[in-house]
Amino acid sequence: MLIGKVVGSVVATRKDEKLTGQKLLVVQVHDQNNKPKDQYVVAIDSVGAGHDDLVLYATGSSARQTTQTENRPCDAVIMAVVDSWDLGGANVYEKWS
Amino acid sequence: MYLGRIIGRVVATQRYTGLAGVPLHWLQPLDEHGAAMGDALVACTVISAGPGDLVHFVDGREAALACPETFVPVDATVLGFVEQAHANGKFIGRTVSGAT
Repeated sequence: MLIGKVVGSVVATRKDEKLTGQKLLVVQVHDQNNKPKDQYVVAIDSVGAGHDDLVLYATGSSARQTTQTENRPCDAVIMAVVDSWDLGGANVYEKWS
Repeated sequence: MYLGRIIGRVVATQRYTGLAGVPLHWLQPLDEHGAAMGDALVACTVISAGPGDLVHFVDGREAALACPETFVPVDATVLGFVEQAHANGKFIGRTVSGAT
């Protein structure tokens, strides 16, 4: 999984019918030091993530392993909202600070 | 499967239902010399590993099969500790518990 920030959402009315009702979010990938990368993914949200949240997303066929995305054309799914993380004992990100 | 070193802890309370209680860690993949290979990633941990530990991990869809619940959106899972690793006759590294 990788961590990214929810920076936007996608609205698409003409799409595969299996994507109907799915919430599509634009996620900008961050590295372990919380530095944004010039890399973006569109992911289906399975946990109720919101704008500016740092989230964890899974890619590839693993993304279809939720009750919400099973058998749907999806290769990225948000599976957790990150509260905090540390590296080498030092806190890098704290959501509630 | 790949060699990696755990470099940090991730806390996430709001997560996919089947993943309740599964620890998440930052993991740096390592090459055959024990040097960093590619970008760090976040993996589920099914052993009691922590920062500093040398481990092996699996990625892709198979990663979910190692989790307590197998139908979960997981693409990387730490499977076990590496006590010592050698490649081409050279020592790569060992688990240093508690180190960072």
